[in-house]
Amino acid sequence: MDSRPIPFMIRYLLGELTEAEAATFENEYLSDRRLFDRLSATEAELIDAYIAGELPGDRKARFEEKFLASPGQREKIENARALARKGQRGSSRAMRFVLTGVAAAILIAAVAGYSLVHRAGQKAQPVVRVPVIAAFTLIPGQERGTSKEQTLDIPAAAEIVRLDLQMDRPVSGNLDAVLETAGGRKIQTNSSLPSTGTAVSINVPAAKLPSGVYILTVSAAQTIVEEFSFRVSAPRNR
Amino acid sequence: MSRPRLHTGFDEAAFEALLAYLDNDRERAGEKYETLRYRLIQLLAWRGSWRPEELADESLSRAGRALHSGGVVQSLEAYCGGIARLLVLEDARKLREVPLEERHSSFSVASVTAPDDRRSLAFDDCLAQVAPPNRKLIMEYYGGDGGDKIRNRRRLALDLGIPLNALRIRAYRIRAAIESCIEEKMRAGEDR
Repeated sequence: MDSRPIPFMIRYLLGELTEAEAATFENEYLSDRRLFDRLSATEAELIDAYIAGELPGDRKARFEEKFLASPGQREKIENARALARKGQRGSSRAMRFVLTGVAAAILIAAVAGYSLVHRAGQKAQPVVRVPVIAAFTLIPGQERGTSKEQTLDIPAAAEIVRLDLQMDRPVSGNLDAVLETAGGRKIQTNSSLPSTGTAVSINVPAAKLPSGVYILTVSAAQTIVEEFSFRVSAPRNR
Repeated sequence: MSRPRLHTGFDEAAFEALLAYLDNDRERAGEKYETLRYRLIQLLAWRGSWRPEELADESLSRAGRALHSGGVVQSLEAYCGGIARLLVLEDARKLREVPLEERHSSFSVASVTAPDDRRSLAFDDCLAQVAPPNRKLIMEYYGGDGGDKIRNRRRLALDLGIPLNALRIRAYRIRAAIESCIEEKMRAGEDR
């Protein structure tokens, strides 16, 4: 029974379903081996698409939020990378078959929205290195300019800063986040962030966060839900 | 499997109640237990838990205790899934209770991994252990890129006389076995 299409499963893996949808789906796959295997296969191909640089920007960002957060998920990425390297070496020796028509790589199309065209003669893509992430938890209501102000010491090696936003109360639906300097210069906007209860995460390139004070405003349906302020300390050797 | 493993923090009586619920045959009960545990670990990982194995064991343990105390569990999978979701939320709440200064001192930096020779060697070893027909399948499945890869997969499915979706699942199972082998080797290397 293919009751759940691949795009639905991708939305689950990227945390884009509502809580109720996700819970229903989880109860289904916990007791359905075939569905669980299809979901696992979809996850494997989603990871492959990430490694191959085939995820569009917003999905790439969500993937990184979800998959780079835990050691187990990062291991899956490393294993997939090893497999990709081996596959590329193997394929250079393999006979290439050219078939006509559009092949049914459902997942790649669903994830990337790519047109599936023959890329004859294209060199193997370089393996994408997983960036180094520094993760911080922000809590709301910290007063700016006081000793309570949250200060982030971002290590020099960090390439991405993940901000885990802890809300005071559960929020549902999609959220928007706007990160600005204290002076009002907009740094980054994230739209349609899925919330999971009281937690929301965003990724920000570390290079966009020099020392200074920042305001992060989270809103739903154009109504401000929460505001976070934090200071990035002067870089030591960044 | 002779006897399913009793995981840390699991009360023996609760464990027995859980196995009895899963199947009258102890061997099959053990297999069903490990299957459910594995799926719970994945669920928790997909929910962003940083300690999915511990929480999966805790979910099963709580379910076992409920069964042992005479609780009515209509669907064990749904029951455990519900507990797992609660545990993820509990974890998030606990994190909020950690004083801010401790959070800052314990923030996580993912020290990820330039090309990892050990993993690559482990991969080669594990691939060599795969039966030749499966090894051929997995190499062809992951061979090429872009359009080539898609054509390879379509041809493979045609050669094997199976639908593309069935091929995806077959490739995934081989891949999962290789990944499991790699993780075992990596852990063994760390223990030495």
